[in-house]
Amino acid sequence: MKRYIAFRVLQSAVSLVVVAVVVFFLSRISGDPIDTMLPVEATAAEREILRQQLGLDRNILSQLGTFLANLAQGDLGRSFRYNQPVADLLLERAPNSLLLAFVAIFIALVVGLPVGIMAARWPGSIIDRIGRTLAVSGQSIPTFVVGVILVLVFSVQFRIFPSGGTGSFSHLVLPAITLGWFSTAAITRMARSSMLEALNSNYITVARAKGLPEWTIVMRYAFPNALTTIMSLTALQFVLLASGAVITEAIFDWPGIGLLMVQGAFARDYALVQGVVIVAAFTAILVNLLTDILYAVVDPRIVLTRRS
Amino acid sequence: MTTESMSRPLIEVDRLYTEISAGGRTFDVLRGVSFHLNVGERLGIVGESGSGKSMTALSIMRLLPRAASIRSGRILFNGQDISSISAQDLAPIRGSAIGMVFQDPMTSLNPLLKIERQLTDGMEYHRGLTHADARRRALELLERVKVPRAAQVLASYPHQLSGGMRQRVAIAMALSCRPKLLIADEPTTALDVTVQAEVIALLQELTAQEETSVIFISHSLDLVAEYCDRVCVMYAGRIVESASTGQLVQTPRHPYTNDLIDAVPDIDAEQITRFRAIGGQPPQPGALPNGCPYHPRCARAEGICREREPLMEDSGRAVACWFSNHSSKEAGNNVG
Repeated sequence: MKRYIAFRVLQSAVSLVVVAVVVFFLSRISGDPIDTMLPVEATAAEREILRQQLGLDRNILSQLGTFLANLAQGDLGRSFRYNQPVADLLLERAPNSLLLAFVAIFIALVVGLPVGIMAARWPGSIIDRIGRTLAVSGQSIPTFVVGVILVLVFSVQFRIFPSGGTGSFSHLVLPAITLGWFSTAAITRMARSSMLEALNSNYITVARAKGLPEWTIVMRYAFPNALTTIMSLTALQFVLLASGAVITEAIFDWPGIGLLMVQGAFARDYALVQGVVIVAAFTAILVNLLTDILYAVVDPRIVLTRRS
Repeated sequence: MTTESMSRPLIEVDRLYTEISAGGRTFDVLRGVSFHLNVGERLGIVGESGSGKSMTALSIMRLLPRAASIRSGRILFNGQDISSISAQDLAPIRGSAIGMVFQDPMTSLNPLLKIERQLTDGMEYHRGLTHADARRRALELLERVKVPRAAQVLASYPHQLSGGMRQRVAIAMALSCRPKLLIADEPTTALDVTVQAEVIALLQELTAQEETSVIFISHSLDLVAEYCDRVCVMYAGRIVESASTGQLVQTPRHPYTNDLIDAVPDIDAEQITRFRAIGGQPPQPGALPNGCPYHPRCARAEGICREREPLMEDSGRAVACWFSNHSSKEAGNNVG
């Protein structure tokens, strides 16, 4: 188990370096940030001074070196646009995004798991049809449509929930549903298919032959076997929600990381975009690492197979 | 074991029809299966794949796949018809009064649960034992099925055990609630030959101790003959011959039984000369030929075999063949 974890941590560290390098180059193909930072009538000399101040006149590899060295110390650089350390900006915004993502994934699990499990237990039943409708609508209706419909119904028509901003629990409801919409569908579908597979296994027939109550069979014999696939999907969804809630955050004016990144990209704020992407990638790698360790906890066979 | 208890039927299957739906068609996989089993008796069911052996077991256990269901007939267990009772009424019977061992030990144990959990939960549920008591009995059971280091095995997951060990655990599981009837569906087919013999010996010993009745399902007539008191031969969803083991092996009446016996290689002989495979394939359920379903593969088939299907009654020595009468005076009442 320790060797397995050490191996996975090392793998994660390598991924992180690769991501950092890729992000560095990708953010530099979006154009020249000087253009957006100075007025159009600025002279070539003025532009050159700013370029030197920002360090953008240096050799690209030396810029990369500085970037990686700083990154290793936790320094994500300075936002050109906000003129603040990127790390501070992220720390300020991250709790909002995380909160939203947590609530969204919570909704997705609370709705998706029971519906998926019941749909698998009674295929073709009413609940299965409801689940399928949910899955199809969740994956085919785009987030911006869902968000706008929710605002129209619950904010404009019935005035139950605010249409934007932060501050109270009721501010959270509509953005969380909007953001969790797609994940709910994905988790419902995955819960159904992996539970169906588990319920069709031989060991379930054997458990039934033992005469155990149906609830025990479904929850204790089948569900853990479906759990690993559901877990990896949930982790993936969470990363997406926490780092890429661009549309939802824009609709509800939710001051999270997604919004910050879009603003950064428009301003060609290299450092900011790099910072957001790196933090998102780091989150993804971390969550995947945790998921893999959890796998080994849930499924005793995993450590054994990976080692051999 | 008194002769009285031997002759009391524990289970009676009466004209059981089980149907299955596939590809928009519905057809019978069991076509009127009838047999009985007395207390303490061991009944073998033999036949090729697709003959309906497993479907018979799954019908009794009410474990049929979703597409299959019992269409008609009765399954009397201790006088109670269990073919159509509710899940609630079935609860005290399935896993408790009737235990079952399955074919493939590699997939029949839950990979994520320790052996302890899988062995004890049936006893806790059916017998109301505390976990400590159930665990004690589980240890005892593992020792009885000759699993070495029982305590360590209890703490193991299935993937840490060999196939033979897993099948022993599965047997312990099936016997944990002291069933009156054990159904063993090809319990040794997936095991090494040496392990097979051990498992058979084990089944023999355990069921004798507790006077458990056994339905032993196998495609191997050899194995069944070794272990069972009586044998039913199944073909195309029907029992075609039923007799005591000795009679069946020495004087088979149905050509199919005869061919099955000939198909077993005789290892004792200097040269394997008796070995003779049965030509052709068993018919698919739902695509049976007219007349006797065995006639396309039968050396003795004549006109009537292609037109009408011979029936049989379950009366000790029974056979469903148009020609068995000619070779036997007693079998006259068996043709329906």
